[in-house]
Amino acid sequence: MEAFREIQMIAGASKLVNDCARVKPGEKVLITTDYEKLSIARSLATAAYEVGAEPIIMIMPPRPAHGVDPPPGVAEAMRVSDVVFQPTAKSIAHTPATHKTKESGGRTIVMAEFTEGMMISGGLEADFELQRPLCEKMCQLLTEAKEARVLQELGTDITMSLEGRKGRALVGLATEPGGYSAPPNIEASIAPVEGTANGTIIVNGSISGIGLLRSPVTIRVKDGNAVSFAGGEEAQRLKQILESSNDPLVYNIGELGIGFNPKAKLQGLMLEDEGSFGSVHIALGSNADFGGKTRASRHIDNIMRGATVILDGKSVLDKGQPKI
Amino acid sequence: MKNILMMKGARTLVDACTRIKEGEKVLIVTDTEKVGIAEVVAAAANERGGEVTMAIMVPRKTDGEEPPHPVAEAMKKYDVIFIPVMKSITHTQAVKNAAAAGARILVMTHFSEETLISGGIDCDFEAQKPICQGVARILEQGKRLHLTTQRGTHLRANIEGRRGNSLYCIVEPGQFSTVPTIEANVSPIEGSAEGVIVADASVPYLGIGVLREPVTLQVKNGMITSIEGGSQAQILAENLKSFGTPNVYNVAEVGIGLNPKSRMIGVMLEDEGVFGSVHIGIGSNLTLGGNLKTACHYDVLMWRGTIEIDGRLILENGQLRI
Repeated sequence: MEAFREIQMIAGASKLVNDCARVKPGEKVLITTDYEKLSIARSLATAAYEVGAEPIIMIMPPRPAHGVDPPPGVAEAMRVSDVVFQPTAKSIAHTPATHKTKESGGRTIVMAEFTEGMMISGGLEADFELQRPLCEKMCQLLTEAKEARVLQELGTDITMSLEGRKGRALVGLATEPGGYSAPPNIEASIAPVEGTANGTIIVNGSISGIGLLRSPVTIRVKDGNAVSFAGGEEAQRLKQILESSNDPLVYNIGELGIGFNPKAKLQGLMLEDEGSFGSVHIALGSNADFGGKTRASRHIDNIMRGATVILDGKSVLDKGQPKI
Repeated sequence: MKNILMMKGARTLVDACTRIKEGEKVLIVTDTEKVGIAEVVAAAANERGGEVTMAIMVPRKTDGEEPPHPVAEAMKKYDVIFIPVMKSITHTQAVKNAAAAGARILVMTHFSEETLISGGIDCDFEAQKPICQGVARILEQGKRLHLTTQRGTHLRANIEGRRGNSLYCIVEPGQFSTVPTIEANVSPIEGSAEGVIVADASVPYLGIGVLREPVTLQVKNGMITSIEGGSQAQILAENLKSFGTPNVYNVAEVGIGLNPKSRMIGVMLEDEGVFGSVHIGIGSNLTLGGNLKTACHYDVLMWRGTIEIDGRLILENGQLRI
């Protein structure tokens, strides 16, 4: 049956190769993967070969954790490739190797925790170019805003300062030299000023590392940090994950993001969930890679549906519907 | 299911040939044709505690073409490199650079699953090593080489000052070897070879394989001037002609097979090792110690050679006399 799945996966692979990375004939396309994601790597190589590019698959043992640099030889190969796809079990998105790829002009498509299902249907079916203006507009509003407030009917109400922080638009495309993206995620996001977030988050969608929630998780936030967790079994798990990291910085309110992919559905897969249209995520932990000052050992996204986002008193997202 | 049978050979590669140690960085460079073999080698290397990366590329268009730049760069960063590929990258800058960076490299060009299951791979490489080195030393010190076979080969060549190469499947840092061939070879001075080559064993290229009838090659001033025989001879003749350059006719190598376990099956690295067989390389000789780089390197093989170096008999009808 596996072979038949690959027939279906080629549609997603073509989308990634042609639209997201805009691979050109003759380009060196490196697919860095681990032994967990081979079928996805194969379909990407097939699509790249089809457009006349030179695909290379490099398979390494899965890294021990997210964010661990690949072996030096793989890093060297990444540095001299035109395009790098990263379908891996453990993310190498936030590593020196990926950073050097960007610096030397390579285009990176991050595909950590990708599944065969994601290659077949869901967020990858979106028209990324079409969603781009909306996402970029929201990014601009986030950059300009001084304060954000997030409300939600279950009782979420949190405010945070965005002053001086620059938003980022992840539009699912890496078409320019040094470009970097993580399709199917399309999001506008920002790193709130550390120490400024106060209020309550009631997560009713999904949490990275845990998946879709059966019951909401309530997080109380004081002076920029999550201070208590309440709810069912999933609240306990979140608490455990954070405690086991032995890192006080993981409690930092690190990110506010809004999803803009109309084809992505909340399903417990991070790159789909974060991007699902009108969802809001507030992450705990690291934000140093996108304008914040916190470099923590974890970055955990908490995704909410049906939330409202108010920037400097003006609603830009009303119960999951953009008002821009 | 052949993977089960191939594991034993793969263990020989990681133990006897490359001696992989715990924590070493191991790269397996392969192409889409040889992934099955690459997987077995990866499993064996992983078992020995190596950190294994596999790089899969599209097969090169011709033997001798460089691998893609990212693969070449990666190759500089590994302790051990295995190269099971359809099209040879043995004679490339990438392999040269990787060796210069200290890698132990094992070349597995045109490898078939059979090659890993039994045959030359069953050899005790350590035991053959001194014999192979001994023959290579004689070649290195020799001046005049005379090759004959009962089928009509008689070839004279000047090998004075040329390196004697010994390939015995065991590599130290900075070295590369083919596997499972064990051979000693030398590259004659360009322009010096004269006589007739009657290949009666194999031409393991271009899909020719084991020979049904002999291929006769006339040699003048170091160059092959005619190729005669049946349809297999014709394939070789036409292919060489198609390059449109005279250097592909260069007599590049005289090699002696020294692997008692190798069989003549039409697979290059298996055939060349057949004990007492002699192969004549045609085309490039740059990596063998010569000065000529051209579009190809082929070999034609004969059974049971007789070789004299400066009048001293070293191989007689396929039997070593040293």
